[in-house]
Amino acid sequence: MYIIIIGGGKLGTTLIDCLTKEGHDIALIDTNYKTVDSLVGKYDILGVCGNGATAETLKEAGVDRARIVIAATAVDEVNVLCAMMAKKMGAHHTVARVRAAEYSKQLVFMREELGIGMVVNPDLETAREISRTLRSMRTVKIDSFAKGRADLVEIRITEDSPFVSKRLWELYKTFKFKILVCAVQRGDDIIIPNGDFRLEVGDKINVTASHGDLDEMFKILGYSKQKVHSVMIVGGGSLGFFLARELVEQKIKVKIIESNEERCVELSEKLPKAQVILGNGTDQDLLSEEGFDEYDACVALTGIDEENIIISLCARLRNIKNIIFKVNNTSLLKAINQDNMDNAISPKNVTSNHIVRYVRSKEGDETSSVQTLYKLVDNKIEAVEFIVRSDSKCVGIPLSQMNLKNGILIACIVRQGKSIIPGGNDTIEVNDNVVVVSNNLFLRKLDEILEV
Amino acid sequence: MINSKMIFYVLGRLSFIEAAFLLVSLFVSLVCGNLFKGDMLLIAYLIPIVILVTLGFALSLKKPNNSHFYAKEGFVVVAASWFLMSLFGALPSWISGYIPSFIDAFFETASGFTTTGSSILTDIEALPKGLLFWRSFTHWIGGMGVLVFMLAIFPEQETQSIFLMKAESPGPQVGKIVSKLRATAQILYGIYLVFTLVEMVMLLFGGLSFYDSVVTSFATAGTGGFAIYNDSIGHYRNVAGVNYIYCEYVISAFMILFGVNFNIFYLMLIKRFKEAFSSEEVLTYLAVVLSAIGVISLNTFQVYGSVEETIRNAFFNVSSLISTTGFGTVSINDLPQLSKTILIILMFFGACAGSTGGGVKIARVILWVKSGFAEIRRCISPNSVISTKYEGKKVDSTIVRSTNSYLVLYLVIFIVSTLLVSLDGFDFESTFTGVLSCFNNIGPGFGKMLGVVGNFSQFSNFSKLVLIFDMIAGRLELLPVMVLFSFKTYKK
Repeated sequence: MYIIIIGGGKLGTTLIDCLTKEGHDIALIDTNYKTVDSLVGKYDILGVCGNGATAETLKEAGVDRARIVIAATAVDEVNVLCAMMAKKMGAHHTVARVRAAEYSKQLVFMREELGIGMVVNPDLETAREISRTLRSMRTVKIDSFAKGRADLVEIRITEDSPFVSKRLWELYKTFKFKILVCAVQRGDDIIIPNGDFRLEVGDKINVTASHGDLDEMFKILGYSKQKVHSVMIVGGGSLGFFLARELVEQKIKVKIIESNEERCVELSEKLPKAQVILGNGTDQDLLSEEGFDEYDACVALTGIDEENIIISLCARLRNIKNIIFKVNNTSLLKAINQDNMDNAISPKNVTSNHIVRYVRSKEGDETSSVQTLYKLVDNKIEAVEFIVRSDSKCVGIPLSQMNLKNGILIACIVRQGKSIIPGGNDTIEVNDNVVVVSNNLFLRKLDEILEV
Repeated sequence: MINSKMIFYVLGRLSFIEAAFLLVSLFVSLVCGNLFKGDMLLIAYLIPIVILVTLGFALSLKKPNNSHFYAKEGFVVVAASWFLMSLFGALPSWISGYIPSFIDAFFETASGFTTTGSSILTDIEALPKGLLFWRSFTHWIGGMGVLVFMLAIFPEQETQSIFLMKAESPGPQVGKIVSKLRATAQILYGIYLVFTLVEMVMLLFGGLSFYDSVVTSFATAGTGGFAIYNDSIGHYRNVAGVNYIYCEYVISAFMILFGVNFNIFYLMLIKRFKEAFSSEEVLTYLAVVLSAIGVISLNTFQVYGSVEETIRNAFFNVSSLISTTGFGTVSINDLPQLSKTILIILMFFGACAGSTGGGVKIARVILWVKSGFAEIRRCISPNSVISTKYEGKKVDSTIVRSTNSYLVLYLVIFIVSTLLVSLDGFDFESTFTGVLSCFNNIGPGFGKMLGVVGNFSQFSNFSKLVLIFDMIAGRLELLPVMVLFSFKTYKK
């Protein structure tokens, strides 16, 4: 698909990264020559230097051929104008990022009356994502693929986990629920494991399972289902505001700590049910005074990444069960990966995932047998969905007898709308949809999974 | 740290490509019946093919894990590959004994790949047709570039391959025309191929034999200038059945066309005519061509007498030199001094960026003139803010800076080369235009040596090596070659 992205900032770059890997044709429009130049050097895209809200620039980028135009410049109004211009000039679908809270009430109007296919507010999306995570009480990352029919969750193996130093086939035998370990992250490596793989403390595993079996597994791992009743939010920016609003609606007790006095007044006006505290979120005395330890969850959303990390470390020391913190610069996480920092959330990734899902939904049925390509676990592994044709060599052979290449795993078989988490005795049949997980092997045909 | 594994990997892939090109020439030799007449030609082709295929397998068998590839690696790969290709491409004519000195064969092949067209051969017609085909074929390969060819045919690529294209394609600003690099390379080669075929057919209509029209089209398309007769295109004047005047016009027109930025042709292809016809560079290029034809026609009217012949000759010479092709019909050395000077200036200018032509490129000339005038205006009113505009858009200061530095580097290499070549003790005109001709990938020169004898055979081996360096540096626009030979590149 031909996609035009306007604005090469953080969101724009993340989108380019995801969408080029999924094989789309991308053109980037940005006013800054250096941004365009460096991104064109890094990715296989077309660069156009200019203002994306002008007809001239849009025409130069070939907007009439574009399937989707995504406006992600720093200014909301420019994004809306870009999307409207692009729509009028022949783009099929348009996406605009609109950040300001004032506009959040008219999102539907903009979608319907202005013809913008998707209006996305990063802070609102992130707030929803956090609230979802808090409600499910599982601070684990959930990726969904195969059009939402299968979930992929990331779990860290801790010392007291029942999974420690088990081989995978033992694991599958011991427990009565059916799960499948698709990928293991050990240090910097990503391994697609086979049955003999032994899990160790510190591994992060990515597991697929049906929704019911996932619940079973969480029970055994001690992720008990317990409701969050109170949340402490540090940082009352627009993300903090959206989150507080979401949580208050669900009758959860919310306390917001914010260091700007004017903002505090504003928040208390808008959120009468939330308690607003004026103060610095890193101040330990203040936190103790406000009964930090008694909260079920702590969410650090200040504007500074480092501050958020420190707040979450404090919260961990005080044994708060659920901690979520915002990080804009995700490369910081690499440096602190050792400290069980799994609960970072980054608005740019949440937004880009959201947009990528929209893009995928607009994808027509292309001619190849590849249905959809997903990039999972920070784009490090590739999940490809194939339709099984009658001439495939894989049909009818039990998986345990299939001679698969290294680094390949069949994660899910979708048969007549039902997803099956496959075991060794399952077979692939004609007209199934098969999801294959691999280590970036550029699979384009189902038969390529077999060792020749 | 430079990623040498990745560099060797790309070089390995290129070996296969050159082997394939040599195989084509071998096949042509076979068809032309040159192979089994007791000479060494079959072996002469097979040896480099075997070496290249072996190298190809050895180097590109396994893809390196660390595949990072940036501007530095791009420069080194491109420059190294052009030297290596010329070395291996020289083997057939050297092994077969048609060019006894290896340096001469190296010079001839480098001149072919860089689309210069300077020759050391005193009797071109003595070479068998198969070798002459390879000689012209190198023009066609070198014109659009072999790495661009590689990008067009190999399916899976690193995303940073753009640096290969940036290093090989001419012009101050190299951009893609569509979002995928591979598609861009394919479009460029597609246009190139179609134009070459059109010229071939048109020359066939003019009465040229099939073989002649193929090699002439190759030499025109790459703006190279190797002809297969001692008197270049002028030879066809005395061939029965050839409509010489028609052919001269066709070749002149195609020389001009191949000197136009290929992006313009793509814009026309997708029906964006307005943008295509308002390109500042192409309009300037055409204006320069027309005014040069006008002045030279006035200046040489006395020589020819007939209006048609005067204009036709002026048209041919101007297109031949500004597009940096270097075909000849009449002896340009005997032209009046004004015409000669104009032609020398055109040799400096060269064709458009993004074409197959050489020279410093019209785009740079425009930018130099504009930034020069801007500087004068700044002297007159120091506080005025002046932005340089090109193609209707503001030019980023980094581009102005790199374009200006290009001029400095260009002059330094030019002066040093002239100094080194003058060790041979030839007259100034020959020395100067010899370097000018090689550095700008043109071919012919003026003066006692080049104008009269018409080739570079008299120069010493040392001068030939200097000129080989100039040709490759000129074709790749200096920086890749300078990076290749700079120690800092390899420092840890």
